[in-house]
Amino acid sequence: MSDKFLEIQAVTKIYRTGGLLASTKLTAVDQVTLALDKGKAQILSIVGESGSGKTTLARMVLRLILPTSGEIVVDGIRASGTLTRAQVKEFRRKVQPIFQNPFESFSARKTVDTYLFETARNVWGAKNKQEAHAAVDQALVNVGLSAERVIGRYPNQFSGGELQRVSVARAIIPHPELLVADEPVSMIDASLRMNVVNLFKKLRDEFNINILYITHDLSTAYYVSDLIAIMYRGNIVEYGPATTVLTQPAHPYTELLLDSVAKIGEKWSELVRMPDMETKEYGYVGCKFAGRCPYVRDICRQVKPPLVKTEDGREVLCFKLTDYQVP
Amino acid sequence: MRLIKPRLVIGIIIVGIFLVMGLIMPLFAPEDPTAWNTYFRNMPPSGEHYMGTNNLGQDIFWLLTWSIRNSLWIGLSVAGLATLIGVIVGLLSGFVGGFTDRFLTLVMDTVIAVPSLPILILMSSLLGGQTSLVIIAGVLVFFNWPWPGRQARAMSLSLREREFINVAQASGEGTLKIVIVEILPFVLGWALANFINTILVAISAESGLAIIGLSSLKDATLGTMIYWAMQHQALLLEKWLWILSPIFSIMLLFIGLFLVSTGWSDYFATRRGRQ
Amino acid sequence: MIRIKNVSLFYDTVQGTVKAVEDVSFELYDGEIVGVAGESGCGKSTLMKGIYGNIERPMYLAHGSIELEVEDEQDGRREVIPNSEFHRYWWKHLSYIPQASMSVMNPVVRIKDQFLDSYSLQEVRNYGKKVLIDAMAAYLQELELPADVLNAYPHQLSGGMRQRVIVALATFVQPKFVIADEPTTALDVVVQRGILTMLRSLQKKAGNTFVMVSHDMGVHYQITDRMVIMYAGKVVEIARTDVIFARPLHPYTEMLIRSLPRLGDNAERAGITGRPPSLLNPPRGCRFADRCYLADARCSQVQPELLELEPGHFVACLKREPGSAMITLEEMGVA
Repeated sequence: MSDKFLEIQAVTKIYRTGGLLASTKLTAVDQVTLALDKGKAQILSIVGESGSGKTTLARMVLRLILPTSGEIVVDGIRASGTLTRAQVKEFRRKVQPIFQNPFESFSARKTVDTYLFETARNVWGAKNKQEAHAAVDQALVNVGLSAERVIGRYPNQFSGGELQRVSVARAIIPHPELLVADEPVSMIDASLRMNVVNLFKKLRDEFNINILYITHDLSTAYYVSDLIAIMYRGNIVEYGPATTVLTQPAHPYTELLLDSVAKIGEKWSELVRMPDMETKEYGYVGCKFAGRCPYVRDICRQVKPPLVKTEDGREVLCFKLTDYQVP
Repeated sequence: MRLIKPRLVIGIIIVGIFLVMGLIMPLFAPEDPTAWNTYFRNMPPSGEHYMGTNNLGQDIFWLLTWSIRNSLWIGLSVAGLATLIGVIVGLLSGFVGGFTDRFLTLVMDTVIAVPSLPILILMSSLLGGQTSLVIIAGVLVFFNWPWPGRQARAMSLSLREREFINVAQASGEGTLKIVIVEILPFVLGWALANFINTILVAISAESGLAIIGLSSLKDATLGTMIYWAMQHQALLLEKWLWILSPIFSIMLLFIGLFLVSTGWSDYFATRRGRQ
Repeated sequence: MIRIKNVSLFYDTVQGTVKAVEDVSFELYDGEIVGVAGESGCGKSTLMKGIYGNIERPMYLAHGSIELEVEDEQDGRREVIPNSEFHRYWWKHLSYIPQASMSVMNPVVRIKDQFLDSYSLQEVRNYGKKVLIDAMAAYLQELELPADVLNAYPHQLSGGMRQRVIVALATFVQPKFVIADEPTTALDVVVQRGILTMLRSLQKKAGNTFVMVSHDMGVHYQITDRMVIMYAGKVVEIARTDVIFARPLHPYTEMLIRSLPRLGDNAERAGITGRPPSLLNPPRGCRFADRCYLADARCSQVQPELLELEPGHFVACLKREPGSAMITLEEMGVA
């Protein structure tokens, strides 16, 4: 039995666009390997910009997309393969999603509580109305909402922050062990964001729920994560403890990201080199960041960079750390 | 309330009149209006016979109400069944995708491609005088279900990509439940417009057959009424009420249904825009 | 300069009148970058449309006035233009970059043709197409954009590239006032930085005024000189940017800034509980009262006025008026 709760092994997703005669290949996720240990719950942030592959990766963990190659195993269940009905049920109990747009997460024609009760009955296994009600009430209390405020209302009667908390309540009804949150706060007003982000911390600490937190916002990632993986054009370029990665970045892209964040307290200096056309970058033979990297050398453009394990527990995909030699 | 436009109201009133004429009034008919020689022939309109009687000794007014009733019956049952089958098949096909979808789409496209009128004519001729309204209705359902089917499928295809479908699945909802509870509400408005259109199509198909003598001639429908009137030279003999009342009824009913259908689509679209 | 005096902009809807902006007054001076900050529903986009002079039903100017005062370069004459005439000066004195503008370009028209569209037929004939396009190409190169962008269709460019092209189009004629509504939302952080620094250097070179609307306080910190904070249709605070961040006086500004997580700082942060009031029926008193840590009974009854509490620092809060005790969140020790 593995001692890992979540294992993402060399997962790749390739999209083909175009017709029979001429098609282009887009490697949205390239040989990504990540793991979460069993035991104490952790929050792993996957940080990247648009086109980094983070959302594709999240959807593969949720079984909404199948990988082209590689395996995803959640607590013994092979999420990347075909499952029996019983296994699907088991999977749903253990892994729940939270999506970016709370208003899209619920049908505008139904009251939001229908989804809560469905989850209670189908996924958690409530045997009757009372049990279902109790489960729903408890979940709402845990996210800081009251049943009377929520039951019987339609999505447009909530603010973005509140509705997202209802999404979280729905997701925790079956007592899951992994929440996959795809940009959960990017569409919520800044002043309401922390209500949801603090909730994630609480879920980790009080309920021992692991959270895969997908975001492009470094500030909330820093605030809430234990581990952080930085993605660029399908690769994980840096991975390690959140504080280390974000205060002493090892990969040039992490440096660039940190520099470019519109921070309060530190003003920007000069202009920075703009990214090339996205499709071109996916097709680079060597390191995908070579076109923009201030530390680039010839070998970076020709050979795929190695995955270097550092002393402070990080993994970095870069030639800079091996003195530009192939290890 | 101010979104409801006049055309919808007028349409509803017209259709309402026909519903009353077709569903309520026939209950008061004194005798079976289709029976010949019940009354004196060719009597002018009077207090006893509101529209007079025809060559065959039938009371025109009551004959008309029965005709409306039967035509409405055909229209409503064909529309109801065709829309029901079409929507369910279309929604499932679009949602499930894969081989099932491709197969069902092939079936729908084939049925649409086959021209219904020649088949109906052929069938009626072969069955000779034994065509019944039920058989005609059945065939009309067969030819009409793919239209709402394709539309429902298109909506299902686009709706299944929405995020709340993923949330519904994560909540453990099964495929059938998702189709009925999540997707169907969005399709109902269109389904209603389709339903009303199919009433039109069914009534006109049956009337068309009747006028050329291929419907169930012993039953009273708007079409058969016209047929019998034509057979007995109603035009030449200037029996206007006999031949014109079913013709105007068809026209008026169609106008009413059309107004309701477009008026409803209008209202529905503006209402959705507000949400 | 643009003078906004007691402006109220309302929307006529089926459910009633939405008072999107109510009784707002301030001035926009020449040669500054002003940031308008606030969250969903605060009215900033509506106000920008109003300032630009693009007021169309169901939106209407319920009362107040917006005036543009320009000084003619040649003879120094000052001219005051009322809001209803602003449209004559679009692409001359005023230019507007709407929200999500990367998506508003005509997908079947090449960039260079869209650019030419902003000139009248007469002007195009006068100058000649080639002259205009060459001038545009030179300007694009100044902004470090590849000149062959002009021959492309919008969908061939990435979102960031499109946005930079739109900024170029909007600033090419060196208008006195450029209004940009959320110019970098939905863009990557690195691209965002590029566009914002581009805007800042353009402003420095031309000496005109940029009004930038954003809900992202970090963006305001980086490039604006002065900020206008809006909440539920009203202006609650105006001050220089560094003052806003160092010493916010309005409780909403305070609580908002405090709720933002900072890189490198793990302090506990809390969001503001509750939500803004409905603008169909706004409350009688201060609109922030039900979520405010300072509020008392009087706050819910009396509408606070925007007063200049320090030179250049305007605050609309009853508890901050001269004579009241000036306690801040920090002093209260409340997180």
